[in-house]
Amino acid sequence: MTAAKNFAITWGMVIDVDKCTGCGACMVACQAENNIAPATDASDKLKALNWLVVYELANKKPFPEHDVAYLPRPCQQCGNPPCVSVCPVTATDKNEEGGIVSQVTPRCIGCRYCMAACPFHARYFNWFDPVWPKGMEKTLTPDVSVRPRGVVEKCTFCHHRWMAAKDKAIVEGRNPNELADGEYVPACAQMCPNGAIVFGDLKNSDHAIYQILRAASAKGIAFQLLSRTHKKDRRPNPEPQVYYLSRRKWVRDLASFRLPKTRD
Amino acid sequence: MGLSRRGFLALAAGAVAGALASPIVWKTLDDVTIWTQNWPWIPRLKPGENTFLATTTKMCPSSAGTIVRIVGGRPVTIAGNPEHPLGSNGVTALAGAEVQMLYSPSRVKTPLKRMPDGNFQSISWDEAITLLAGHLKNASRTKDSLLCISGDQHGVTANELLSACAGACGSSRFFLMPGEIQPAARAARLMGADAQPGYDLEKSDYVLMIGANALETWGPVIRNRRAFAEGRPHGEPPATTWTYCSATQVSSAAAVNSWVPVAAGTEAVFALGLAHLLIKNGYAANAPDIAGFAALAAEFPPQRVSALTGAPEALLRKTAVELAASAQPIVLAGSQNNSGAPAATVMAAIALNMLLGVVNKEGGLTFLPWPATLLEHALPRARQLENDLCAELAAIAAGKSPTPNLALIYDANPVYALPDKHKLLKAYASIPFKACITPLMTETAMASDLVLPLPMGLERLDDVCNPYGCGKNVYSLCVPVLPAPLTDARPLDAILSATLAQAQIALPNFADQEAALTGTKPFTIRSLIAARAQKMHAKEQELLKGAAHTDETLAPVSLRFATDILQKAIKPLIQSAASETVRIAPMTRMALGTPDTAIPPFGVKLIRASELKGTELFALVNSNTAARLGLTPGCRVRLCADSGASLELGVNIYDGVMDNAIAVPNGYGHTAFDAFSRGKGRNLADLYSVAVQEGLGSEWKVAGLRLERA
Repeated sequence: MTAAKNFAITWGMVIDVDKCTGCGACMVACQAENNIAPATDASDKLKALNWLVVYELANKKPFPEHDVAYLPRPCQQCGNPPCVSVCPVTATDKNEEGGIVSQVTPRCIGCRYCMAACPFHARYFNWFDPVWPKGMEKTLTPDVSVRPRGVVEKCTFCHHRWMAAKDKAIVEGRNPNELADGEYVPACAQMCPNGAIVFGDLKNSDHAIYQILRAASAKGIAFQLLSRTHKKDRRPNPEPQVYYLSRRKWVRDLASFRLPKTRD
Repeated sequence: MGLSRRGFLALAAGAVAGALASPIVWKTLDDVTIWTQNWPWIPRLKPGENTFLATTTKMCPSSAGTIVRIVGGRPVTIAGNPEHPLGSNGVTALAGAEVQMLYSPSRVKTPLKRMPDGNFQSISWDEAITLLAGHLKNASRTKDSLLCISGDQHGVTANELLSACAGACGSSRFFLMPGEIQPAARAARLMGADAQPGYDLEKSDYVLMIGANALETWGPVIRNRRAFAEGRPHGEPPATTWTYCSATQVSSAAAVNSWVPVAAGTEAVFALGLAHLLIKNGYAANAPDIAGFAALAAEFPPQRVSALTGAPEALLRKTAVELAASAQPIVLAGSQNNSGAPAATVMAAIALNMLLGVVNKEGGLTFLPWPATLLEHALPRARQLENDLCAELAAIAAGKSPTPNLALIYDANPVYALPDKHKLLKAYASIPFKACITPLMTETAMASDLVLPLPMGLERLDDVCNPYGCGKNVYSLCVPVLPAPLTDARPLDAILSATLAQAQIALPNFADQEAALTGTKPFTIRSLIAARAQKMHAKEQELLKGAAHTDETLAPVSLRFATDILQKAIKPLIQSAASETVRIAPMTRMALGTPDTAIPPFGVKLIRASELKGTELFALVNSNTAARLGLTPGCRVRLCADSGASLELGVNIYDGVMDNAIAVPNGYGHTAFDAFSRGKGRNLADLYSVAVQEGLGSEWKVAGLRLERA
């Protein structure tokens, strides 16, 4: 596995699991912002299409020691994305400043190799035509093309919002690569009523996310999904650009997906 | 010359080889591939000028300030308005779907009249008004012959118009749908406050939520959640402490400092247990009947409270210590299904706030003055909240109250939401003519004789005034984001004034001269808003731009514990807590909508796999309860109540439910609306019955719950 790609701007997310109550406002915001069609029955979670899912985590202890947490899961925008290397048509790539893993749906042939490769189940296949109730197509935003059936799609960190923020900076005569904190925020981060999702440039010390992540890492409460937990861990590390915070150890342990100790 | 077998095979092979070599087969296959992959319909994005309009959500009970993004005249998305006192950058999962709900397949498009064959027929507005006016005129001949039900919990103007209309027809039977505010207002009144209880969460350092799911459904949720978020810097120890007492460890419980398991319906006992510990610790209140209250609280030592509520004794003691150690604690009480906690529970919570000395203090329990009544004949807000719909329908069912001739339902869905279906709905069904003013085809609309389309919250001018839970006076407007409704809908004032005029009933006037100065036609939403703005010294133009008017004036109160009433009220709660072996624990989520909206299209994907599979709804029990009752994941049970009501559900195991509690998700089981909600699961309200206690109002309960294997 090669090293993670390096970018001067690295858009990232810090999700404070301890502040999330699993209300799903982020999922609704994502659907509206990215023109994701509603479904009349989404109880079959294998067929339901979401760019962002809020998972319910439990510490697996019986009542009254039971504890619960909610974990919103957008595309992790891996520094070393397993989906990119398997795409036969380069429909998904990580080659743009900002480090967002692209998804070019007109180029996608629907082979779903990327879905198999993604360890986070963050990619979704359009099994069906997207259908909006009559008239509801008028609420489609002009920012994100509607995808046909037969292609894979995923969270783009609301990439169009970045484009809009850059355009605005250019019009105002500012450097589009030096956006201020909060100028570009994905819909889920904006809409979280608990302020559980912080978004910004992981490498820009003027952005709140930079300080939050440093402070939390120093305390050992920041983690990435599927992160390596010890040096002997040989599993590939996708190095996500999405970080989570939790003061609860069981949440961190669950996210690291540490395997039981085996004989070396 | 005949064709030999060998020749035939050679010809066939040649034909196949020739066909494969030619482009015909490949081109045909290619075309088939392309055409079968084509969409029947391709939505094309329409660019346009971006504009943003600030308003207040009417569809979501959070009453949060919102900003609607409009592209080329089309509203497309919604976001929070952090400038609004009840808003933040975010909104709830329900308010986030409000724009899409404009195009809900359930919209009522034209007035509908029920025909003799039971089907609805589309009619013109003139016909509809004539029909309603006839019944209204008829009803006005007999006192109290008109029953008005409003689902607008947080507005003031629409309710004033409706109750003034009822008053003009000689009826004082105006009711709001059951909610948290009615028992709270009743509790406050019984304890000596003629004002609306409010909660200044923003400045509290310890928030104790007894049954009130304040981070999901209770009160102005977005305001609550903003206060919660501000007290919890990322990665730092929380600056404020939030404790949640409920039977299920969901939503609010995931993020608060501690979750205290308390069986649904026993919250008042838990609060009295805390009161006992605080009094023992030297806490007192400057109230005349403190001694009596202390004696009542002493009946609830931790061991007894633990036995009755299921709350571990250690957690009860810990909560009392934390309350005592906090500088600005506050106690909230509420129900898990938003039907309103029993008045006794709110009384016990107010008593705790009195003991803690936070009444009308910063960060404490505040009392807000009632909004002014502007129209003649209209019931004052306090009187509106005294009227108890469940008690009234129970009285009609029992023959103690006359059956009205006409029911006028405004933006409410009592047929779905009310409990005690076999009794209350029988009383409701006995009303000879029912007219429903609604934006969506609800269960109530389906059961009505006349359905009148109302504009959605984003299409009409409306208001929000002191939604229950806010700690200071807040008044803001819902402004239309479209030039005209998307259906042939008319606002309430237009419907009522046209109907009253046709029925030759004089339109109610302004109640006082001061209000009359603002306009010549008082019976309109706009003139009432203008008059109210003037009375509040608010800037109407600013209100119309989405700004909220706030006022920190509090009503002076002199509270007493009303121990005698509390003692009487708590008795049935104790009896039921002691006798029930299993109890229902409702789970309500904003994402699944309200009875008036059902599940919004964008809420469907938020349904959890543990709650619903296809159309099967699951009850959640913990492993201990499952073992005790012999339940296994996936088995089906029938929940039966003494009232005869029953629900059949699947079972899933979830250890975030306390022992002996059966958690049932709320918001399912719709029989109207559309494919996004119709026919999914069962309606939990069907299992509830209503108990009416003299002076304390109605209380929802599931008496004598038992489980049978289905």
